[in-house]
Amino acid sequence: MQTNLLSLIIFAPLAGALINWLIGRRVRNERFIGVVACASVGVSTIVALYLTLRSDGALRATQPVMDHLWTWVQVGAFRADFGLAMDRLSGIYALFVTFVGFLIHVFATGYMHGDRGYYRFFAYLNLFMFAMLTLVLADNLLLMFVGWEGVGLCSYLLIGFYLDKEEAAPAAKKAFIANRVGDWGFVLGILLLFWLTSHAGKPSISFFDKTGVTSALATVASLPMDGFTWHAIFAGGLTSVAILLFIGATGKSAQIPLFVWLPDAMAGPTPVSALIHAATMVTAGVYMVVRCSAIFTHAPFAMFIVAIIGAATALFAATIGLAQNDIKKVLAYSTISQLGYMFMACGVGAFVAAIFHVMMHAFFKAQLFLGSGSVIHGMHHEQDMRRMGGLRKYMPVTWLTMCAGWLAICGIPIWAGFFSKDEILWKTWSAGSPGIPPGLNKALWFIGAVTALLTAIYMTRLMVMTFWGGERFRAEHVEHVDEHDHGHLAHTPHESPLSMTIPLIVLALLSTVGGLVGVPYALSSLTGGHPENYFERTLQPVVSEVPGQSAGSGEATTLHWLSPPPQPVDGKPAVTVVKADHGETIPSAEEISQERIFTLISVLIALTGISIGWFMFKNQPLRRLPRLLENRYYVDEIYDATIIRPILVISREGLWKVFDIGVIDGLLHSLGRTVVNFGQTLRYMQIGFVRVYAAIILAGAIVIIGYFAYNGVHVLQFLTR
Amino acid sequence: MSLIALQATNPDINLTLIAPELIIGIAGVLVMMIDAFARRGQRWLTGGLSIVALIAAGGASIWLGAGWRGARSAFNGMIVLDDLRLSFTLIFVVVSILTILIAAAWIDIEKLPAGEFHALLLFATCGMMLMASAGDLVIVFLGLEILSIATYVMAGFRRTDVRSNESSLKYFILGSFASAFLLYGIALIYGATATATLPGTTNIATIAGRLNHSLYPPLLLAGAAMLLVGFGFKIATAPFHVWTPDVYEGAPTPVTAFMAAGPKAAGFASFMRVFVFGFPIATAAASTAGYTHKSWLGTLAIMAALTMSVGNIVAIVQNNVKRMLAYSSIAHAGYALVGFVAAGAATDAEQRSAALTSVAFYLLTYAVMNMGAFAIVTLIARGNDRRTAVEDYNGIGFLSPVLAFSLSLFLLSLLGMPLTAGFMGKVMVFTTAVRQGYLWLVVIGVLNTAVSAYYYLRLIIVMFFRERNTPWDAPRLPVSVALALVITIAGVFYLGLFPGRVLNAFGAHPSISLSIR
Repeated sequence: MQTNLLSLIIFAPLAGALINWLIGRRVRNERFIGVVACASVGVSTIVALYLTLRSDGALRATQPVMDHLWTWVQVGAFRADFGLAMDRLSGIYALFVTFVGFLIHVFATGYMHGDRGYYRFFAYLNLFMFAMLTLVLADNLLLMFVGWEGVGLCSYLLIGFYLDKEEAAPAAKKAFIANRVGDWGFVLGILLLFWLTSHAGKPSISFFDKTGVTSALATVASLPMDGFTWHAIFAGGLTSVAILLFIGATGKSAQIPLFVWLPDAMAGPTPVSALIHAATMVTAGVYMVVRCSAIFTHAPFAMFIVAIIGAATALFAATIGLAQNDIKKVLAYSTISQLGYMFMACGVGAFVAAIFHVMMHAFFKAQLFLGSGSVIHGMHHEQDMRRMGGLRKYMPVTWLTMCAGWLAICGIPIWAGFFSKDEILWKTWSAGSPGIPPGLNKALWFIGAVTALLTAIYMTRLMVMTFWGGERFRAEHVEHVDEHDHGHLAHTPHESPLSMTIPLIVLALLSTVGGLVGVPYALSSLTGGHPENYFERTLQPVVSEVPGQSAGSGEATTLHWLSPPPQPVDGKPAVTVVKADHGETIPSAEEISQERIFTLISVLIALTGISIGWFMFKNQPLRRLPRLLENRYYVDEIYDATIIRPILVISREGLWKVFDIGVIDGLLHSLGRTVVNFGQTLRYMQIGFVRVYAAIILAGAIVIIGYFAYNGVHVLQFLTR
Repeated sequence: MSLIALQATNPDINLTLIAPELIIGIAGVLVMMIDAFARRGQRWLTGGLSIVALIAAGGASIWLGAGWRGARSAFNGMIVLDDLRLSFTLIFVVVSILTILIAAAWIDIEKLPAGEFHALLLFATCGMMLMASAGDLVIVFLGLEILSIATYVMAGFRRTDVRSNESSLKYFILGSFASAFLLYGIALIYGATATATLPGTTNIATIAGRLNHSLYPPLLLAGAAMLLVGFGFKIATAPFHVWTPDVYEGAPTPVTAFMAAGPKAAGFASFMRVFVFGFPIATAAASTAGYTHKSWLGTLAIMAALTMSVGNIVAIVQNNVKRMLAYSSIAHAGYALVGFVAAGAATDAEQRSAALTSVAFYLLTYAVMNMGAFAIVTLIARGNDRRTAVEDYNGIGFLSPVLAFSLSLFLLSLLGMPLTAGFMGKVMVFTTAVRQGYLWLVVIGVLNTAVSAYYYLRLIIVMFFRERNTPWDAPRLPVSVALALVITIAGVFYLGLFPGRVLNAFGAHPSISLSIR
């Protein structure tokens, strides 16, 4: 289906940004600015709903909804369009990005009340929506990269939004630089993919078949699968493409080793943390990996690395989250940890589960962040949980709604996180892709389970420290009454206005029931009626199947991860891709019972975690935790000592003082002096006397005529011979 | 035998083929008449008439190109019609129109007789057009002399100024010296192309056919060398450039602008016609034709390298803007010569045509940006060309932003910044040279471009970052000069961003492909 409505989704927020930037800055009327910002995103939301849910919409039809605006770059065989496409994957993304984005915009109209940069904030936020939706709806990698950079820019602007906050500017810079490292990988990945598809005879970086362009992903799918070896990374094949793209994803989605920017990014306003650094932008990496699943499934070693990095990040960030005292820092590490989950799912080939978790995470993490924003707002910009406690009775709505988010992230049944996290864990256990050597899936599952336990503990700690226990903010204030003598004491925490609580309530509802769109067969069959797993059925057709995954004990198990890679036979891939028929495959009874057991285990894990957290921190909320965790394993310090400082020293002492000043400047200056001296000499020829000029001309003429005559004599010799 | 008989019986008159030259020539005479009889308000009358005539001539040449029926010649091969001629005719029209616009302000300030100037300019233009359309060495010489005599007078147009007189006289003496070379070269070639049965010839196409039948090849080669010297003087290639700085500095600024863009392009037109088509590349290297080709091509390549380097290096140490632009003009002739060399080395008609087109395009871009720069120099120089030192430009950047920013644009274009005409011109010329294997020449050209950055950017820095110590009274911007600036600025961007149309028009009609023996 071809429709220009699609471009309205991205251009409405752009228009909002322009209006706020150009008119809002002069009007300076908060109501006007807020209405423009929310309405523009509201338009996107409505259009996205209409285009996904109508009878031939993106979520129902097999063909994507396309909108070709113009051919952007056409150089030789390289072509990139400014074209949008909404298939099932980008449709789901567009839906929750616009919807959650809309709620956060509404929340922000209350949260940012009274800020001097009100118009600036909403202009940036709308611009972010434009960039994010461009990223999601782009029909080729280059346009996706435009959105990718756009969200990076907006993230930079919004982290550094508080111009008077000391840590904001360095945090913004850090986020930008860490993302640049990732972008380097992304761009190289795009180039290499173009090179590979050109070699296959169908040069393209497009995701879909269009007039004049074949889908790069389809081309990749027809290529033989890469081997499972270390050197595949550097061989310049699909594994290299996948690894480079994944480097891009680690930057944007805050994975090891580039995760360090996300905790610092909490210096931005809380709605920004909720929208950009939890719900949408940071999941762009997951989106990109799933979008390019055809590439990843043909690169088993890349899948292996994705799974390992994802699992390691999940565990690593969860342990750090345990020991943080800043409410937003806890949530930031929790986000990193949950993103790690998603990448682990991608790595084992459970792309649908990853996207399911992205969506559920968007609901409950946005809820938690907004809840924390509400707390911070009510506490007059206090973020340290050690100075909170007992807020339950002052902020009942915030407390109740945050409980929903808390239960969701812990994975208590029927709350959203339960279904998605459980699915990831189960898919990890039962994974059998060539990228996952036997035994590794069990280890990954174990890491995931431990992470789930830790998640339940630190989230319970957060809730307990904030909402239960003694009211530590009073004691704190009494102690520091001399220092804070500007009326803080008079304030008690208060509930937030309606504009903030309504989004909280909506998101809490979604965190509670949202997971029902993707109930797995193993659980739904318990009820007898067993409703379909809508989510999986919708998404299954658009992601690539991992070979051997559904077969369980198929060919995949014969691949040992240290054995030489299978050689292609007659140009066909050695490992045949088992194409599952579209639609839900009914698992065997044995699998179902196993899945049910694992579900039970993860519920037990969650309950255990909550009780540990409860009993540890209920009475001793200020309990000291290992210093190593509190200081985040000193990762920032290690990076500073091993990477940043050496670069600075080499740049200053070596490149600047020696190479630039000494070699380059020295060379240039001496060269310049030589040229000038030469010029001065030549200048003396121009003394102004005509006779001298005539002599010079004559001399030149004699030389030339002499040379010609010399050649003429040659001719004469040649002719007379 | 048959050729002589044909010439005797059939004069081969075709007036439509010389329509542009006729229009300009008649307009020139008319302007002179008006100047003689109507002395009041003649400035607008003669200027307007001249511009109308130039536009008509441009239209006529476009019409000749539009009604194209293959490359043609008339007057027994004296006049030819091909894209080399058409594209250069258009360049001359543009240059002359811009000169009239720029000169209007100057004529006002200096209280000079406008009619005389316009008549001289039209005659010079007529001469340039003849040089481009000549198919015969005699016509080349005729056009050259029509052009030169008019230019000598124009250079000395400010009669009361010693510098102007000096410029004119130097130009005249050295120009005559060079013309003597040219004429002697023509005579030698006429003698050397005589065969046992036929008398000698000055027709360029016929010369090409007679090369290998020459009875005394050294004479032919010596003639070619003398032609090379004569043309080399006209387009100011090293070492025959020595007259340029003095003449350009002393001549009135609008005349300098004209000389740097127009006569130089005309020189290129006939230079290329005579050498690329008269002494074409030969299939057998060990023949008279082969040696002739080898001699001039090698010499020209070295001259190109020399010209670029001398022009740029000496421009660095100049403290007078006009003199600096004079050296810059020498350097640009060097860049254009690179394309000329490529045209000479091209083995097939298509590549040769592409190279010739690139040179024509280069000279057009140079004409546009150079005229623009000189327009501003004229304005800032004021009466009697008083302010032409670099110090006179100190800190005017934000005092006269229109002038300073336009001049910066032209300087950047002369430097060859991307998105400007100068960049596109260089790209075209260098590309054709690389295609013909003259990589070393292109490397020298690019290095020279880097050198030239110094003096172009220096003027921009002076304008924007130097403190001004002397008072600055901003010159008024007359309508005519403003119009010239609009045309040149638009031209700089148009040629820099969308060169396709002009290139296609210039290369639409490949020149008469000459048989190569």
